[in-house]
Amino acid sequence: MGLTLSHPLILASASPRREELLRLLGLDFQVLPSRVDETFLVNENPGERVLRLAENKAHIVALTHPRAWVLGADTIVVIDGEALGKPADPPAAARMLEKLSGRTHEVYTGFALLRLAARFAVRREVRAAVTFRKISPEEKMWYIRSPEPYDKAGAYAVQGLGAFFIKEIHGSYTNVMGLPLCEVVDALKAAGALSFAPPPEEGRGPAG
Amino acid sequence: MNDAAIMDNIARIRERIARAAAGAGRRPEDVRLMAVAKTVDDERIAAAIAAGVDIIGENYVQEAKRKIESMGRPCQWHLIGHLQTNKAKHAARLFDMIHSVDRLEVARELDRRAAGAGRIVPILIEVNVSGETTKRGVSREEALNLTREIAPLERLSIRGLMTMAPWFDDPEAARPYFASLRILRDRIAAADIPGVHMEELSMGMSGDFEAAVAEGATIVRIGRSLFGERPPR
Repeated sequence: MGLTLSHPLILASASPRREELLRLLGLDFQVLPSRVDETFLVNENPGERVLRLAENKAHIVALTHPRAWVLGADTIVVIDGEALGKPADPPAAARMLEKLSGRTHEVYTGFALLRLAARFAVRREVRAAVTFRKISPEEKMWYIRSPEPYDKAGAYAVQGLGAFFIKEIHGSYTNVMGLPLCEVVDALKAAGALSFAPPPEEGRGPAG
Repeated sequence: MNDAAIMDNIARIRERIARAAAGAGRRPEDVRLMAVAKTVDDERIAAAIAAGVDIIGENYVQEAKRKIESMGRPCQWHLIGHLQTNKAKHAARLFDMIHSVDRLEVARELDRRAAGAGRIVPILIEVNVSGETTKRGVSREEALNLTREIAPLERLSIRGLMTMAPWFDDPEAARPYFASLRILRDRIAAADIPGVHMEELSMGMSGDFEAAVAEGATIVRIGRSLFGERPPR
């Protein structure tokens, strides 16, 4: 693909969506999920929370992989100032879907890129607005019986059956999926992690 | 261990600090050497002071109180051990700096006691970078908030951060922990909180101080390499 990394890249996330997204860039990377405490802190706003958790995830891995670029991310859904994390059970998933039904909510993703050997750390928060159409009771029951809502913030997957409910997205689609690719690439570029070698067919060919 | 051996050790440690500092493009004089004097008797402490350590570090308030009363203050005395609220009164009076502030309530008590003693006490915020439950210190993520909360206390002056890295066979393995504290220090400094100074990084001990100096330590805390193994208490 012509994209080269200055040092190995590690995705510190257990989310298969994030892995899938990062693969789209054609980069070589390793996945090392890290468990972090996801309890809310008092008076913590959603932006601070996603940045904190994203950095925590990256930090745990970075301490033992100081030379690598380590990327961590965290996503939450926010409606009426309330942050929705991952639903614990079907009733919780049902309550979340009822809140989102027929309205617009915000999806916050925070990501952190660390390379401790270079004392490098950046964090960014990206938002997108998602509008749901009305969800009927049958649709809700059908959806919460599927496995889909349970490992996802706000109890839906934009790239899965959840697409059923989505009328409109303002902002980055990949952000709603869990990793804002455009901003992540920007951060990698700004950090000097990525270089763009010209495709082999272009240019003048071998010298001589 | 006799005085000559202590002087020798200090000279060797200074040399290693200088080499690590030079390797990182820093000046050796920007790193202060603390002799950690827990359970060390007055005579050997006096030898260390004579040999030119910058700071004596103590773990226990009572022990420090006794020593300071008998030896006076030929150099700075810092508290590096855990501070309990009920020891804040003496601590506020005794120490030139307290490295181990990690809770608001202890800071408040220290502030109150410092006012009583007519002093402004320089403090560091102790951070638990590794997240190990056996370690004291505020978590990395709460350090900025704690700093904001302590900053308005007029009798305390926040000067920087302190941490203890986990123990490793390979001292280089501790280095990312020091880098992490420095990143945190820079972030707190960038928050520009009135009254908060972030010039000190107290990190690095006998086993890992060179890695700490390479990552920006301004105070290294040396016990074992300076005074030898401690006798069992």
